[in-house]
Amino acid sequence: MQREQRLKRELSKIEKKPPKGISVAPKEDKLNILEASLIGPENSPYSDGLFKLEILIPDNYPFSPPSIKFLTKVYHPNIDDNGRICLDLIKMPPGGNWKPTIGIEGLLIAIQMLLQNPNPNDPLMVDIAEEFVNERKEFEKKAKLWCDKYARDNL
Amino acid sequence: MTSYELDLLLKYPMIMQRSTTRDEEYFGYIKIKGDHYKIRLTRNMKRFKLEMTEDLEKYEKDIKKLSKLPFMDPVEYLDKLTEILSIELPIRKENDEITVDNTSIYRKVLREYTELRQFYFNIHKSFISKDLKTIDIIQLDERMREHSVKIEVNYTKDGKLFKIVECNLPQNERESSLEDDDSLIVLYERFMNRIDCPELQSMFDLFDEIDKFCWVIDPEKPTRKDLYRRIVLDTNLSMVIVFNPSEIRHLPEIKFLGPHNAVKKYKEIVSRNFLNWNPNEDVLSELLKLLEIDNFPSKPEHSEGDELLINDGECCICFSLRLNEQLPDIVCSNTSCNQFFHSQCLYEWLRSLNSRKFYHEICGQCPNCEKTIRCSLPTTE
Repeated sequence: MQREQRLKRELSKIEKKPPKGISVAPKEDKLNILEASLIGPENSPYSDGLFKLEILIPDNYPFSPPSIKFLTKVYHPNIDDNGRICLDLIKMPPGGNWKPTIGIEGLLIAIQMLLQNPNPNDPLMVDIAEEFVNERKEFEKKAKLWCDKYARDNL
Repeated sequence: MTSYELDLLLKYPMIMQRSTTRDEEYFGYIKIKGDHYKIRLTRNMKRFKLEMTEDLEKYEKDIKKLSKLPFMDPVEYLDKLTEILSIELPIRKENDEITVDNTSIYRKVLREYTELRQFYFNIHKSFISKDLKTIDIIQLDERMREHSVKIEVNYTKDGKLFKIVECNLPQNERESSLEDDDSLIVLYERFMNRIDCPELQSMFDLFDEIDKFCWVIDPEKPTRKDLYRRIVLDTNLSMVIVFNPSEIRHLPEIKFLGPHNAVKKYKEIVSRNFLNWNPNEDVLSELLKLLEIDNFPSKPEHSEGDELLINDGECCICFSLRLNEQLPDIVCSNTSCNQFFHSQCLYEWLRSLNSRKFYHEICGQCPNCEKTIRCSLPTTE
């Protein structure tokens, strides 16, 4: 019941006034799968890259968080090889911090911020987190290399 | 004020006093024979200790003697120090670096500013801050577009007097070195020359045209500095174009944002047409040709409410006013939160967290402000 009303409202807002560098749309008119794209934040190794994500909306949304994963490969301490994201906001309490007041737009903005500010204290990719902490230059070089390789979409 | 403080102020006006838990400190400058000496003096009971500086090093022996003597107060110490140094010191020529006070700079800044206003009496708007540290100038170009520049006055000894710190023009690396000068008029003329340069003018024309004929969703309020526009092409489909200011008429960098299939379609169209881009033609019509469309969707006129995720009084869980014909019936009691909920929505959320139930109530945290919130159980349970 709440799910349809919420999604309709959220998507219409995003369509009319999308957040900076973010787009979201239903995938082939299905309402339980959304496709999103995100432009890598400035002043980060991902700057100017175009990242694709897939969002699955559970039946009891917004009481459970959507599951979000990257379809584009990303070199990042909190994103694994399968595009899974380690972010407390997309996990249910008590382990996580999902709240029904957050919404899809809020999550995507949080993911954009996660790209800019990795959280090495809660890593999904331990090696990358260590590199991020100890060899920042090397990390930035690799992240940029991956971004150039996988997230370039320019014509 | 203790007895010596007034004396200190009168005799050594450039000395400041600072107390720490352990001792007292006096720092600043004293003037001897027309020269200023930097002083940092610490006091512990009746002992005074002077920090050595390059200027004072030569007199270290005499100063050491002083530290062994007891003094009643810093004035007494400074008197003695002045006495010693006056005997020892030769008369040196005026040291500009220290003796320059800001008065002369203030005077110059005001003179420069007044001259600028008198000389360019057609300046649209200009302001100088009360502390004389910043100057804002807004000028119009031939097409009555506003351009603003913020200039900071440099009161340190190094560097030029005026520096452009903010300017509403695209950054140009080649010219960034030209952004400071000792003359305000020279700096202003440089700024105006940049505005009047034909490439920039045709760039402003282009962006004005885009902002007028397209539905631009980012930047929200474009400034002259912004070289990109995110333009709506279709429902949920938009395009980010980035122009190179030195080649404004060339094919811009393009990125499509939206559903996979729509993006794929447009990418195919563009790859078919991009070689036909003609830099001698109008950029906007070249863009239309590139995308094989007749015109860009224009910004729809809609009410403000549509652009908000949630309006006042709506339930902040389902983002709606009515749910099964019910209006939100619970308000968070935290006055700085005051969010509305349908009891059905709030109950379902609190239940999914396994919140505590008492008799006919469930109790948990408000999903907005995290303060305690209560909700009665649905009658069916």
